[in-house]
Amino acid sequence: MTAFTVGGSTRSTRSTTASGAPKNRHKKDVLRIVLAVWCVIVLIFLFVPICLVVLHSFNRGGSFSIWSGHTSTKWWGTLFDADKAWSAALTIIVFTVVGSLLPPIVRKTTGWQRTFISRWFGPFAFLLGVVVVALNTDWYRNVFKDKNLGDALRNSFFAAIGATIVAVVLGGLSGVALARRPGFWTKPFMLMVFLILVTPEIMDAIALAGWMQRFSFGLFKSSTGGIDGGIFRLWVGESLYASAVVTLIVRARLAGIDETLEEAASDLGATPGRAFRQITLPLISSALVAGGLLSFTICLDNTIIAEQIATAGSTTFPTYLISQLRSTVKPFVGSAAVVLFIVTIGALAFVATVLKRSGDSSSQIAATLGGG
Amino acid sequence: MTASVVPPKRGRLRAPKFLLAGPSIIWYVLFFVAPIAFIVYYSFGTKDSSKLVPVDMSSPGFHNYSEAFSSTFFTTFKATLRVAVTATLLTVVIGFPVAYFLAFKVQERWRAILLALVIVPSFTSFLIRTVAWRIPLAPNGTLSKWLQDWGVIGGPISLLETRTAVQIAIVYNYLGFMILPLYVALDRIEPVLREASKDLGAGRVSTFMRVTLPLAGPGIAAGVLLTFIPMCGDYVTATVLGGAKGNMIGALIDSEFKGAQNWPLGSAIAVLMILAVLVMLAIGAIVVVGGQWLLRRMRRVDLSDGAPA
Repeated sequence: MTAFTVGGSTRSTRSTTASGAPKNRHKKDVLRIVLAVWCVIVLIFLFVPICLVVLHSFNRGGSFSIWSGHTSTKWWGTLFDADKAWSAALTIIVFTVVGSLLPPIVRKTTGWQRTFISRWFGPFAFLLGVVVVALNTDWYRNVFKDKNLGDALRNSFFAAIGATIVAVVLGGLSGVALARRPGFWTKPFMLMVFLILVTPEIMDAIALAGWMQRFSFGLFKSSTGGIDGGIFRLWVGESLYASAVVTLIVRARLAGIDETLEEAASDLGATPGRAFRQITLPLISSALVAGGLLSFTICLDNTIIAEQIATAGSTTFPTYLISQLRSTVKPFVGSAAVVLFIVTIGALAFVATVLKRSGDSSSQIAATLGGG
Repeated sequence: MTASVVPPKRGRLRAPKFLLAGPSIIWYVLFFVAPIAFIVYYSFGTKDSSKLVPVDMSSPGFHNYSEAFSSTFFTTFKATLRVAVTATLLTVVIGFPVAYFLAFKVQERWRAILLALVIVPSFTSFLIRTVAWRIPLAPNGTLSKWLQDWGVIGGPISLLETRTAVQIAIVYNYLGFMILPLYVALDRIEPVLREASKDLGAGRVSTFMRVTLPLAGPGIAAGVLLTFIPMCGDYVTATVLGGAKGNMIGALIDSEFKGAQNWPLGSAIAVLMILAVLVMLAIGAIVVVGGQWLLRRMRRVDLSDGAPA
């Protein structure tokens, strides 16, 4: 399906060039056609394994990697309790729709104008829906039929959400500090951020594993007042890379805007806290949301660090998947993978929308995502 | 009066903002710098399983490093570096035309869609994408059967659990992270520069070699950093697709830490891995800088020869 879309797009690119070619391009550009074909081939190469995962989650046979020749949704049924899954999905959809419709209605009827709130109301309502579903213990415990897989997916989400919060707070603060108070500390700090981004993950992973074994008390103990301490370990481990990413995004966002607004606020008598809340925070809100969602997808996917530092009770989905590889992988693992794909693609689409709304071009979005 | 009131206000605004980076600094020192410093420290110790942290530091020495240079480890080292270097070169070769097409040859509205199509697979789960390769590579899978039916190959595909499988999957996994920085670098080149080169009579090849490629240099460097370093430490791909034959340094470190509980040896291998990466990057940088210098020299001769005529 994807290959078809890609093929379609390039074909029309070519036809538009043929008809409305710019003046300085005199003849048919052979190089362009060759490059277009190459680009399509590479995109097909990038998408084929992903399409195979989606296809094989509908495999009727008993193995993930061998196609039985027939499609069936039975493995999706093994993954989810159908009734509970539908009611959970419906709840989230209702919350999101109501949340997105509310601000325009409120604005019309009461004339209430706070762009900051109305802009984030839809996504906020979506999150609220997720929280309501998560708090409903019946859904929360039983929506996944396979206990181990359900636990792994829940742990993945919990770990990723916690690490994202840590990353957004730390990255937001240090991004503001880097953009607004550069000084003697900027260079060493940026070096550290850069090192965190490029150090092979296995190095971080063993280092943290050793460190947490040495200090395996308090929050890192394997069970802390009913909550498994492994989750806290994952928050720490996954937040390092993510906070470096958020730092760079926030810094880039503020770099283009000088400090006159904050200075004006303070001249008008605003306390630093108030100036931060009312001026700086709205300026960086899109960067925080984009960085946060990006961190979330990165953390959700984190394999190497989680593999080293997770405890028995905090197995995440990647760790679970690796343990499954020792025997025949069941197709419902593919179904779970598809669920994660959808979450990731949703998050990425949202990142792109947020960045676009705050005035980025597609190239700038690519730069943000490409670690630039 | 007012003048004396305003500056302290500014000062009040100024002080806490530098402190804003404080939490991150503490966090990074606690959970990045200190743990890694301890790995370096452990690498001089000996194994002692009786302790909570199974390292005995009573007689520090370089014995772990000499063991890490023994034949088995050294073979894995070489194999890993070979896989990573090959994969980096392949991602540049495969990715550069795509980035070039996206930056110069495609219309703005298609560009956004195509960029999204590059980004989406790169950010979907690394592990799942790797596991997905088990489907086409499976010896009794559909692809294998087709290829046998068409007579392309004699027996079933026997790539799973080999280094070739790891090589293919590593190129696949990191391709997007090469294309994106390359695209960003190419996109930042002012079109005017390329136009000027053409107006001055340079052909396509010459414009590409003398204008586009040098200006894309930072992008290539960023792409290499973002792909080569993680590749060297990557053990997921090797574990999922390589089996015992596809062993890479990352997998070795993992087995020393989790399996053998020999932390000192694992630490020494990890430190050597970082050193090897730095040496490889230094070699790469020297080759590039040296090549540029040579090229410039050759061109200078060219010019002085051509000038009188």
